Amino acid sequence: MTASAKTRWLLLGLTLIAFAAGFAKAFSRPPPVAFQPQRIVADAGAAPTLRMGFVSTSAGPHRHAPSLVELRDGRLRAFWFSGSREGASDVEIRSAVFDPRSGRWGAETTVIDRARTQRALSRYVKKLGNPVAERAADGSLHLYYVTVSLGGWAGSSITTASSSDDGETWSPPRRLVTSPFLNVSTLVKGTPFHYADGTIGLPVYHEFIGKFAELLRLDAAGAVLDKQRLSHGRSALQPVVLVRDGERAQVLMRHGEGGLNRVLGTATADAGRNWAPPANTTLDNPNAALTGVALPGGTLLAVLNNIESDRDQLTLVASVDGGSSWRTLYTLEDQRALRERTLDPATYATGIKALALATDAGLPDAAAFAVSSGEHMCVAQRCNYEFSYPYLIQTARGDVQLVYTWNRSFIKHVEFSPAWIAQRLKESAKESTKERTNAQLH
Amino acid sequence: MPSFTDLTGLAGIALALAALCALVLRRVPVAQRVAASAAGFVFVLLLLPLAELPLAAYVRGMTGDLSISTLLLLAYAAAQQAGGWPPQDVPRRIGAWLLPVLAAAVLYPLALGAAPYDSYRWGYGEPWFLALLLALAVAGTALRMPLVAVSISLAVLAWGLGWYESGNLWDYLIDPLLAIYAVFSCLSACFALHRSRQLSR
Repeated sequence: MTASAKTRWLLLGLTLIAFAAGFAKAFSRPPPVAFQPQRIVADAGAAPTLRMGFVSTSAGPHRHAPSLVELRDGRLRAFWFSGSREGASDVEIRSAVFDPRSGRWGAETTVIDRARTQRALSRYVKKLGNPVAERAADGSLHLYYVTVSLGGWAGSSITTASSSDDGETWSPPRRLVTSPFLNVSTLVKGTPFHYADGTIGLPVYHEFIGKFAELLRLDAAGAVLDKQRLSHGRSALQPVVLVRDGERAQVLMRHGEGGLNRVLGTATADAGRNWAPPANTTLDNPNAALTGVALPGGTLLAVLNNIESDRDQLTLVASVDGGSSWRTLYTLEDQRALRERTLDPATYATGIKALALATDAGLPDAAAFAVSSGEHMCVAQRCNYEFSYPYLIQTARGDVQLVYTWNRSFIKHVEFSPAWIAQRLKESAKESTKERTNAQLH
Repeated sequence: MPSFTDLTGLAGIALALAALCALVLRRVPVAQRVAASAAGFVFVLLLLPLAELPLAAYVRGMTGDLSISTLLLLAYAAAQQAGGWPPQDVPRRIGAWLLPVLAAAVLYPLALGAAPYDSYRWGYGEPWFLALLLALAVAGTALRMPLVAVSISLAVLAWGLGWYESGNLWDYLIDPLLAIYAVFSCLSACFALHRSRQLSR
C-alpha cells in the first residue's frame, strides 16, 4: 500500500469514528413532545382576595426586571437586577423570599454579581441584566440571566446557574451558546415553561440588527437542545408563552419598533412544531415588556402597559377566546392624568408617598420611597412615573402572583386569588355585555 | 480552577493571537527563532492571570471560542511555517476555502434574522445535516483535500463528545474569524490562479 493510500484509509477511519459519535449524539436528542400545562394541586380558598406590597422597602438602588418562581414549600422567590443604574458595572442579581402565610417578604440577598460571573465564565463580563428562573424536572432551580461582554444590550448572551436548595446557594454560572455570530444578542424576559418530558421551554429574543422572538428548549441539566424562531424582522421582542393545553399555546410579544403600537401575537396548535405568522393583537403596547399566564380553564391573563406610549399605566387583562379579544379586569396603576403637567421633584415626592402608602399603609418610611424614586425618575427638574416589566406566574395553589418594576426603584408584588379572578371575569363579562347593548342602542 | 472547556477556549484564543504575532513578524526582518520565541511569549502572556482574569479572557468575552476548524488551520499554518507540510495546489486551495465561505453565507445572514428560517437550528443534531457533512468529509478525502476531511471530522467528533460549552455543531465548524479569513484567502487564491494562467499563455 502506498503512503497516499494509507493516509486516505486513516482519514476514512477518523471520519467514521467522528460521525459515529456525531450520529449517536443526534439520535439521543429527545423528540418533540407536548407542552406541560401548569398543574394546580391545591385550592387557594374561596375568598376573593387581592393583596399587594413591596418586595423590598430599602431605598437607594435602581431595581428593575423582576421575576418569580414558586419554591417547594409554596413560598415564592423573586429575582431582579439592582445597582446604581441600569447597565452599571455594580449591578447584581438580587433575590428575596415571600411567605404567603405571613404575607411578608424576607431580606434582600445577592444571588450573583458581575465579578463572580466573569470569574466562573473565564471571560470578561461588562454588565448583568434580566433574570428569570424555573424549576427543572429534577427539582433544582435554574436561573437564567442576561450578561453583556461587548456593546449594549444587543450584545447580550444568557448565563445560567442552578440551585438544589431552592436558591439558598448557587452553582458556578455557565454560559448558554445560542447564536453563531460571537454568541451575541440572546436575551431572556419571558416566563419559562415545561414540556411533557420535563425539558424546559425558555422564551428568548434577539435584538442585534433584527428584532425577533425565539424559543429555546433545554434539558434538565440546562443544555440547549433546540432553538426555534417565533417571529422575524425588526418588530418583536420579549415573547411570553401562554400554554393552554398539551398542544395549544398563545405567544404575546412586545412591539419593538415604529408603526402600529400593538402587542404582537402568534399561536401553535401542535405543541410548537409550527407557529402561525405573527400578527397584531387588539392590545396596545408602547414598546414595553408584558407578561401572561393561561389558567386551567383556558382563560388567558396578561399584564401590560395597555397604552400606545409611556409606561405610566398598567392593567390586568383577560381573554376567554384564546387571545382574539381582551377585556380589562383591573387597573393596577394609572398616572396618565399627570402626563400633561410638568412634575417638579417636590410635587412628585408627594405623589409617590401617597402611591406607596396606598400599596402598603404600614410602610415605616414612605418618604424614602419618594427620595429613591426621585433619584431614578427625575431628570432636570422633571419627573415621570413608570410601572413596567411585569412578570406573572400561577402557583400550584392556583393563585396568580405578579411582580413589576415600580418607578425603577422598587419591586411591587400583587397577589390575586382564583376566586377574585373568577369574580372579576364574571363582572367584566357583564360590563362588556352592557357596553355592547349601550353601543347598539346608540 | 477553570473547567476543561474554558481552558481549551482560552488556549485557542491565545494560540490565534500568537499566530497573528508570528504572521506580523514574518513581514519584518527577524530570525525565525526570534519570531517563534516572540509568538511563544505572547501565548504564555495571554494565559497568565495578570489582571482579574487572564488577558485571553477579555478577548474571549468578545469573540467566544474559536471553532475546531480554526484551531486546526492554525496548527496547519504553523506546520507549514516549520516546513513540515507542503502547500496545497491553487485549485484545491480554492475548493477548501470555498466551503467556509459558503457555510458563512448560509449561516450568518439567516441567524441574524435575514429570513424567517434559522439555519443555526440544523446544528442541534439534524441527521440530514450530519449526513451532508459526512458526504463532504468523504469527498474531501477522495478529492485529496485532507484538510477539509480532517476539519469536518474533528469538528463533528468534538461536538459529539461535547468539548465546548456550545451544543451546536456550527460552533465547532466555523466562526466569524474563519469566515472572514476564508473570504480573503479564497479571493487571493483566485487571483493567484488567474495570474498563473496569464503567465502560462
